[in-house]
Amino acid sequence: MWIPRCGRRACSLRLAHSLHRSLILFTESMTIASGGANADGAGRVCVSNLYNTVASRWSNWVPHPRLVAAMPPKRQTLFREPYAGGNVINGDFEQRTSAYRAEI
Amino acid sequence: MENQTANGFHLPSDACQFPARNADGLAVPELPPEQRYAFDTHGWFLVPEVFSGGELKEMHEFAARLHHRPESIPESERGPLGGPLQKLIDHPLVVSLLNEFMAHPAVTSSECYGFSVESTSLFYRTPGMGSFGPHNGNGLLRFPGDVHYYNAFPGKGHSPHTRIVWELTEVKKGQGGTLLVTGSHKSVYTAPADIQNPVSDIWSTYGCPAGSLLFFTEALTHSATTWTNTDNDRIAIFNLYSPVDSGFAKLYRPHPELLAAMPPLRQTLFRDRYVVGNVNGASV
Repeated sequence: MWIPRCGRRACSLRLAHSLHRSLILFTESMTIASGGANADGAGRVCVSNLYNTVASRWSNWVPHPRLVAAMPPKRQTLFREPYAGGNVINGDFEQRTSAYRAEI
Repeated sequence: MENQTANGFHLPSDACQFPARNADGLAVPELPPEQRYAFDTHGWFLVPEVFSGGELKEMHEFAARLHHRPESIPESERGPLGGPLQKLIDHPLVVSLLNEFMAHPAVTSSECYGFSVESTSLFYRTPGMGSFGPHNGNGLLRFPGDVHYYNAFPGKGHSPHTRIVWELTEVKKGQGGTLLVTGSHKSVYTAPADIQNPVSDIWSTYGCPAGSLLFFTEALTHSATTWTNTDNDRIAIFNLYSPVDSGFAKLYRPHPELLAAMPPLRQTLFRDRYVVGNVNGASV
């Protein structure tokens, strides 16, 4: 039996930036397909970005390490390792997975 | 193909072959309905005395040596995956439960486990060790990204974060075995204040002979408690399993030499963390 990945793919979000300055956002849990060429024959030029939750990953793609190293620190956080526990900078992760105050 | 409709394929697809044998070639039994029901309903169950005799003695001695004289063990084997303990990580009873409650068909094949190892630890507790601290629970209500969830569908339970404990010494009930709040993985309320009392009736626990195996979902409210048994120390191997694409802790990597020496099927427990194409021996 297939096991639904409750919400995980639903948290994959696609942003496509067209060079005609438009922006389209859609959830990857939607049925989608690439369209044909424009009627005027112009090619499609777009940048398509895909986002995941911090603790999971659909593909194993990561930018070149030197490119990441050159990014501002906050942007680098977009490319951190996929895990949940404490994976936040200057944040308060403690107890976020438990209703009870305790050492885990 | 019978799953095909005029416009595509039915979801869910059950076109998946789980490993029928573990990395040591041992047959993986089907999870008995009683255990399947207990895990889904209670969130935990215990199998007593899976190991005994010389085999248990060998594991016990290795674990004690790992604790007392780690330098006497080659570096690559110096951990809970070393020596006679390695076979615990994909023991047939373990694979049986995880195939049912964790493995995702799209990343599973006869040559590839559909789950991964997040951590493996030796707990060596003498009297007075072990701190009480309730955590987790309410597993049906977690947002994506929090791995401590539990999914329940008609005829299918899914525990993406599962703990498996090998008790290598006797556990006397109420003297330091893990505390569990039965059914709390599905609870929709948080517990009353008595949750902070380790001897409250809220808590379930167990006693068991050495060589026993405890399964519980990490979505369950649970806690360590102080080991008070003065007849023997607690020597337990705590193994934690996660989906292949996510986890609570950073990706766990065994020593490279140890990993390279493992059978290929066992190596798949330690693969990189992502979904697409992350399976051997199957097309995705």
